[in-house]
Amino acid sequence: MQSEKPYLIFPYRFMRFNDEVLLVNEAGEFIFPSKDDFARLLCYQMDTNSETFLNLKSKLFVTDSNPTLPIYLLATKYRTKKSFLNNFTALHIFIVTLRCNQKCRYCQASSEDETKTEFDMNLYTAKRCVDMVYKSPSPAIKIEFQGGEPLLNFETVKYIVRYAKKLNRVYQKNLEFVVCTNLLELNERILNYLEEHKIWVSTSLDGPRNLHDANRITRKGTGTYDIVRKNIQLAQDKLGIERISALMVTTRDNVHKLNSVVDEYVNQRFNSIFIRTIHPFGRAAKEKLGYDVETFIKNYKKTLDYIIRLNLDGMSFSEQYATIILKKILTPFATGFVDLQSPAGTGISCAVYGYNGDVFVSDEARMLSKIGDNRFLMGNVHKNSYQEIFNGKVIRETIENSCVETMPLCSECAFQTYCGADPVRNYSIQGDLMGHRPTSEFHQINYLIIHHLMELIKQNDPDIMNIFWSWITNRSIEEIKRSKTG
Amino acid sequence: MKENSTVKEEKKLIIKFDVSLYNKVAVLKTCYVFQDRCYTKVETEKDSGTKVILTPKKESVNLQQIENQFWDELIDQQIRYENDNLFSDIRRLIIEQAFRPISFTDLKSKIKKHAI
Repeated sequence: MQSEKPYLIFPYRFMRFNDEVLLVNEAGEFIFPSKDDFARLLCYQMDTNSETFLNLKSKLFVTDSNPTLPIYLLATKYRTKKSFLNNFTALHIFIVTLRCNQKCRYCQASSEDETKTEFDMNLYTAKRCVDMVYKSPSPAIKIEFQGGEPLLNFETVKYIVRYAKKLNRVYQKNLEFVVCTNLLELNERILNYLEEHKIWVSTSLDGPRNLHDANRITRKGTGTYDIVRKNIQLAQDKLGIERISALMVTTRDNVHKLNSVVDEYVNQRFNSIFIRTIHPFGRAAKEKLGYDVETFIKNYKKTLDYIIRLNLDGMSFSEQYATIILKKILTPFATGFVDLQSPAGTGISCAVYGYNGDVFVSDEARMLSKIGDNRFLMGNVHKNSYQEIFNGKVIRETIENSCVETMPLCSECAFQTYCGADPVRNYSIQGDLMGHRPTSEFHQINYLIIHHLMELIKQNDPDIMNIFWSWITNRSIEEIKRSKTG
Repeated sequence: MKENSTVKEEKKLIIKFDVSLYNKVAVLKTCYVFQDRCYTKVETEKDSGTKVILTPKKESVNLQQIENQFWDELIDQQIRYENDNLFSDIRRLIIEQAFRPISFTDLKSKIKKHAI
C-alpha cells in the first residue's frame, strides 16, 4: 500500500539544543534544524526541495523515494557502530600481584605490602589464565599487566609473555602486551625486556611535583615525582615516545589546576592527556578526594579550551576522552572504549583475572570483591570452564542491564549513540545495575561533555574542526588541511 | 474534558492536565527527568484528569523555571512517544538487517508497506 505522505521519516531521537533542535539517527548522523523546520518535518509539511530537507535526506533522516536503499544504508552504518560486538573479549587484564610499593590516596585496588608474596599470581594460575584468554574468539588479544605494581612480580609477567607467544604461534592472533606500572622498579634489565618484546608502557602522572606527590606516594609516605619523571624519560628514550603513555586522575587537589597538569604532560613529551574523573571506590571514597559535577565540568571545559589553544599555536596535543566522543559523533566507527559503549564492555570486551584466578567483568568489579561483594565475579580459571565464565549468569545479567537503548532517560536521549552505561559503577554507587540516571554523576558528566562538544561542532569553526579531525585521525593539522584541499 | 492548569503553592507545583492529550508513558518519562531536582508524585483525578505534584529538593530551585521546563518536556516526551509508535517497525527492520547476513531480497519484501 502506498502512503499519502510526501516523505517517510526514519527513526531519530531529538532534544532542544539552545535555540534549535538536535536530531540524531540510529547511525549517529546528526543535524540541527530550526524549531520551525522541526515542526514542519513532524507535520509532513517540509518542502522536499528545500536545503534542510535535502540535508535530512542525505543524512538518512527522511526519504521521498523508495526506502529500501536508505534502510539498507542505515543498517550498514548501525552494524559498523556496533562492530565492537563482533569479536567478543579482546582486552584481558592480569592482576599479577596485589603487592605495591606505593600507597596512593585514591587507590581503588586495595594494594598489599611489598613483602606479602602470597598475593602474587603463581605460574600455574598464570598458565590457566592465558589458556582461558586463548579461548576467546577475538582475533585481537591485548594482555594488560596491572596490580598492585606488576613489576614486583616480573617473573610471572615474563612467563605470561612467553606462554602467550607460544600459544599465538598456533592461534595467529594480533597479540599485544601493555604493562601498567608506576615505574618505580624500572631498570635497564626490565627496559631491555620491554623493548625486545615490544611491550607498551602505561604509567601514571598526576601533574607537576606538588600535585603528583599530593596523592602518589610510596608506602613510607614520600613523593614519587622525581623518580617517575626520570624513568619516563628513560623509557621514552629506550622504547620510543609513542610506546609510553600516562594516565592522570582528577582529584580535589588538581581539579582547579588542570592546565598545569597539561603543561606537565607537554614538558614530559606526551602528545595527549586523558582527563579522568576519580572512581569513587576504595581509599578515594574514604579520603573524600572527589568534587561535584559542576566543578569538574567547569574545569574540564576550561582545560579543553586551553588544549585547543595550544593546538592553534602549533602544538600537536589532544585530550583523549574528547577524542573518543568526537570519533563517535563525527565518524561511523566504534571506538573500542569499554566504558562508553552499549551494551557495556564489561566481560564482553574486557575481563580481569585476579592473582588467584578469579575472573571479573571489570577492575571496579574486582575492587568490589576485595570489600566482600562478589556480585560481578564471573568464575575462577581453576574451577570453571570458559563457557561457565563467559556465558554465565553474571555476564548475561550485567550486559542485559547496560543497554542504553532500553534504559530510562537514555532510551529517548539524542546522545544515546555517543554514550554508554557502566553497570558496575551504577551498582556500587546507586545499588542497582541500571542506576538512576537523573541523579547519576556518570550520566551527568557524560551528558555535559557530549553537549559541550556538540556546541563546538555546531559552531563549525574551521580551525577547531581541523584540530578535532587531527585528534580523531591521529594526523597533524597540516595533513588534515592538505587532505581537504587536495 | 479538563483544562491544563498549574497551581503554585509555597513549596510545590501542582500541574493538572487532560490525559487525552498526553499518554501515561510521556507523563511518567517527564516526571523521571525532574527527579534530580524534585520529588515527584503522579495522581489521577476524576473526570479524566491527571495531577503531577513537584516538590523541589532544594530551596534554591526556581518554581517558575520548573513549570516552564515541565510543559516543554511533556510535549517533547509526547512527540517521542508518538515517534516510537511510528518508527518502531522501521527501527526493528534496521536492527534486524544490521545483524543478519547481507541480503537485499528479504529487506525489500518487508518494507513494502512503508513505500512512498
